[in-house]
Amino acid sequence: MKQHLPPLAEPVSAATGENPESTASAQDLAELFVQFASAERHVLWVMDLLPKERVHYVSPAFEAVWGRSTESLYADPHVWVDAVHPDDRAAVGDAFERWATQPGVHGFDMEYRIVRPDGGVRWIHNCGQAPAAAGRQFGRRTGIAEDITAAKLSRDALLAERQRLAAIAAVAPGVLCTLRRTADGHISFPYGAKRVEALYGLPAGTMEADASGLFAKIHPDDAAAVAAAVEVSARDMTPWHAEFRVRDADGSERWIEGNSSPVLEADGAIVWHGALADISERKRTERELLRSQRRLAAVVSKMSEGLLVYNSAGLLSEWNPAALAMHELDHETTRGLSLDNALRLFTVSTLDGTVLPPERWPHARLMAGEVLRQLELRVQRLDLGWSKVFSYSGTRVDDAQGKPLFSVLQFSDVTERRHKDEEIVRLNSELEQRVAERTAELQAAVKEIEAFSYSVSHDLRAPLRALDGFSQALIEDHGALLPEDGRRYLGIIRDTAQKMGHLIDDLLAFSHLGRQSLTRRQVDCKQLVQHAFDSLALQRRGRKIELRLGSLPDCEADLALLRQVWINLIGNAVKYTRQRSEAVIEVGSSTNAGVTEYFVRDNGAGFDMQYAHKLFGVFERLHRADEFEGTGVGLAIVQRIVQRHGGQARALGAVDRGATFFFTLG
Amino acid sequence: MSMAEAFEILIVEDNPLDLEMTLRGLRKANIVNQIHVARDGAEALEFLFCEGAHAHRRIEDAPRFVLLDLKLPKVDGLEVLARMKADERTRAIPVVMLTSSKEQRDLIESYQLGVNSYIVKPVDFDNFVQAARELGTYWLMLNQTPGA
Repeated sequence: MKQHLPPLAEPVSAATGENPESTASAQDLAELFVQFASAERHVLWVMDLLPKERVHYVSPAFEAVWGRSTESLYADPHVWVDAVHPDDRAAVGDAFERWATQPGVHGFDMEYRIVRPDGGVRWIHNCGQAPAAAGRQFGRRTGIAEDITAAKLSRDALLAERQRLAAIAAVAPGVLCTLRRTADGHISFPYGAKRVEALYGLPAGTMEADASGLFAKIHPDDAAAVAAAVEVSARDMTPWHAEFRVRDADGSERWIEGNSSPVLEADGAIVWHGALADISERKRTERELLRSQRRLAAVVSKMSEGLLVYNSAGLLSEWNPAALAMHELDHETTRGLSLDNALRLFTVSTLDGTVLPPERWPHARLMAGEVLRQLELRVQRLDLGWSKVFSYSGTRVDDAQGKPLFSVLQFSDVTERRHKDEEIVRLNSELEQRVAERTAELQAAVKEIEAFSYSVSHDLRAPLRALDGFSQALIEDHGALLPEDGRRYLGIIRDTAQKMGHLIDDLLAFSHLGRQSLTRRQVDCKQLVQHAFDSLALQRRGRKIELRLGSLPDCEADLALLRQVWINLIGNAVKYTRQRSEAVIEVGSSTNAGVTEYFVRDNGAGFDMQYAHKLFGVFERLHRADEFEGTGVGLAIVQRIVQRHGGQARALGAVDRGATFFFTLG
Repeated sequence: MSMAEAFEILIVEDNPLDLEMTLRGLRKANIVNQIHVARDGAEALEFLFCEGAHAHRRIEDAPRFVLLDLKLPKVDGLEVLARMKADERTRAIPVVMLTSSKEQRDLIESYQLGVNSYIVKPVDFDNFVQAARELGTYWLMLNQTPGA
């Protein structure tokens, strides 16, 4: 720091001749020096290095700054060096030494700290010179030491403040910057240019001196508005705010938000201190939110369920068109709908007809904290005279502290469904009643059939017994009186009566099958077939019959009924092979897709396949009674037993070439 | 005890033709014991328990055996059987059920009530006569009733 003498207010006098530099006399100069030397913060010093180092003069301010007496310095010139802060002492000593020995080469101009005897630290700016004139031979040095502690501290504080600002700017969300616009319209970014460039996607180094390229980056649709906002801010000196898009080279857009306050400078320039931020994400979120709200609103307005929202005071605050339509209300009426009005228009009752007071209406229950799930209530519109059933669901929504915010009530018109439900209940009960009636009828019918067959089995046989018995008595007692023909006729009467007896027995057995309960268990078919064959010994008397047994796996069946099937089928085979000198009866089975089909094959009279459908009918016979006796019930019994087991029976045959009967058991 | 009162066989039968055939069958089998005929269940009970028209009888003069039709007017055969088997004095009298029914339930009930034998009346009279003969012979000749 150079020290200039301040310009004198007035030239001293012309007496000093032609010297244009100064008019001051020596006297004047001396007085001036004394004035200078009395300065409080500036310590003037004069030091001689020859013949030995000593302080020639030091101004009184030394005592105030250094906290030491001038006498001590005059006594020992090293006092000032000793006062230097230990951290600075070496550097100060070296610099002084170099300057002392070679004053022309090295100047002395240093800032360093001293330590006062009271421990206080002061910053000193010390500046020395080697006068060129008379004093040189003495090795004279002069200088001024200034106490710069205050300036130094405020400079440090400023520096620290700047660092803090820079640190904040570096991490602040957005870009802190200063835009300057001169009176002639030139704009620049004296602060934050680099970050502005990065934000706008501009080349480095383009914004600090001339920021005019900035506006080219702004979306054409937004540029005018941004510029206008700047003008308004400059004119009214009001804060500037703008949200605008910038376009990147790849065509993508980003949203920027700017906020700044204008300050008018002395030269007419305006600086805006403020911040810029990329708000693309926020904008996107806002757009999404808006879209989502619109979607939600569309859904709510289009949904077929009614939706009502009540505020925390229990007043209707929002509704959708469906809610209005279902109540046949318009917006205006709904907006002004008080509870009194509502009570005049509607009654709400349970499905069993109990009319509910308003405090039991759905919205009131929600307000009380209840959650409703498909609560069905009947709503009557008194002035229009209709009645509907609504199904209500809803809940109260509370804030995090549990304070009620609002209640949402959703409902649908289930009148139709309710009617249908009632109809279904009614039909069901009717059906149940009908079923009960029919069951009773059926049971009565079964009882009747049982009574009938019981009666048949007793009463129908009694006359037959009489026919047979008295014919026999006639033959025994009076046979001798009758001619041969007469006795034959009586024989015919007896045969016929007995045949009818068999018919009745078979018919009863057949009718009994339908009512008999089925007890399924594991049955050994091979053994059963053998027993059936053995039991037909009477029919086989005098016959030559070969029984061939094939594979006969066990089955699940009612033993007694299945025995009857085998007896009937094998019995038929025995009967219809009567004309064969060597009868062959083959019994076996085949299994297909897990279903076993049993068969009985014979080489007997067979039958014509065109009558096969008649085989299993009751009283249906394919042979004349004089060929083969029988009642025509045997195969009908077989089929009924098989069907009761869930199986089927069928037959294959050809006239005179034998027959095969098949059956499954389900 | 007079012989006139000592009936050895009680036949309970409502059908006159069946009755005639039964009697004829017994006759053919040379069973000519004293036979009393009751035409319905009520009459059979009066006879057995010496009541009404039979009040003069002594209950000790029980028949050697009873041929009992199942289906009877007024009181049916099963009930007659039940009453007999429930009474100490008549329990020991052998009872043969005679019926045209092959119904299982009749058969089962009869045996549960303690019937001694059960015959299904066949349409074939020869068989019936044979059965009656065997029965009569069996019960009259071989079966010595206590106290008889």
